[in-house]
Amino acid sequence: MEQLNTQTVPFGDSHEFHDIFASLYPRLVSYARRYGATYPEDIAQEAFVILMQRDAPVEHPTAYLYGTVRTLSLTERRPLKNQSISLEAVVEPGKGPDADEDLLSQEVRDRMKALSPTFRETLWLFVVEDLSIRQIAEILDIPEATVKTRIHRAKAHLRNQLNSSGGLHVLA
Amino acid sequence: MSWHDPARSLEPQDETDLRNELRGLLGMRAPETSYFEAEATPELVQLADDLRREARRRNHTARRKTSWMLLAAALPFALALGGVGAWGLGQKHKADQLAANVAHQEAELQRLAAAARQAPPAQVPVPAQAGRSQPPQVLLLGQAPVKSKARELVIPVERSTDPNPHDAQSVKAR
Repeated sequence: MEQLNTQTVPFGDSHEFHDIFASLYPRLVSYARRYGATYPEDIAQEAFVILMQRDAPVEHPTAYLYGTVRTLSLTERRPLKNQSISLEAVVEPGKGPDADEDLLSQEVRDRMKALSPTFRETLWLFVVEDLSIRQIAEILDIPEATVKTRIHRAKAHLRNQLNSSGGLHVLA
Repeated sequence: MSWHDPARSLEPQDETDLRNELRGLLGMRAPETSYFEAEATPELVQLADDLRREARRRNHTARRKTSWMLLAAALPFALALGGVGAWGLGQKHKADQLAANVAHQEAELQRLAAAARQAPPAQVPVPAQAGRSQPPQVLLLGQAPVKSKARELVIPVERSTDPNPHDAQSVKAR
């Protein structure tokens, strides 16, 4: 195997890059799967290649990767519109088949599903992917204030859910 | 490029608190490991190196391809511009030549006019053609001053001094 020169390769030290790749790659695959991507591994790999191809440095590499995966996943889904495919086969964004099963419990998934796709997407990035509001704003290409609004609305919706089911008293 | 992400490391405390609160509302457990702590398996390391090599390969080929495509796209415009420029230069050269000729002729005319003003009238050379084109003096004598009849030919009649010419008849005598 060809030895990589750490002085010329992007992202500096190979060891650091390997660790970060190992951490982010599975998350990006899972994120692409949530958008119903047919080949989520390919999309995550392509996002890494696109990032490393760039000449200009990226301020938030993690957000850039997530944003690229999101765009590629949505682009992959777009040609399906013109094909005669069963509606059951097309999944809603943020509702990839069995994408959350290994990450979240049934209870958490049920509460997430009760939210609208817009709030669910923002909440997922903030809580499950552990990204900051600034990063989410960059991924979704919306202002930070909009991200905050969505998160607070999702929070209010979750509170209402728990109030109606009596769960909030249990938490308290 | 560094993987250091200021948006993540400089996250305000209220955002962290909000995240923890939401985790509680969703019924999630707190993450046991940090976001950037993961084990790099040999397969993942191999994949990471392959992707990095692919990025480098694409960087080289894409750049070369882009420059060639730009060159190919610019070539027709460059040729068209060159053609128009050459044609314009030719036109300018022709216009300069014509202007020089006109100026030369004008100078010549002025020189001739100045020479004619300085010379006595008798010595002014009359062009032969101009003399020929003038009508005979005799024919012009009976010419009427009316402009519309300026070109009519008038034949002069020699009036007889005899009060009773041979070929004349008197009306009264009849």
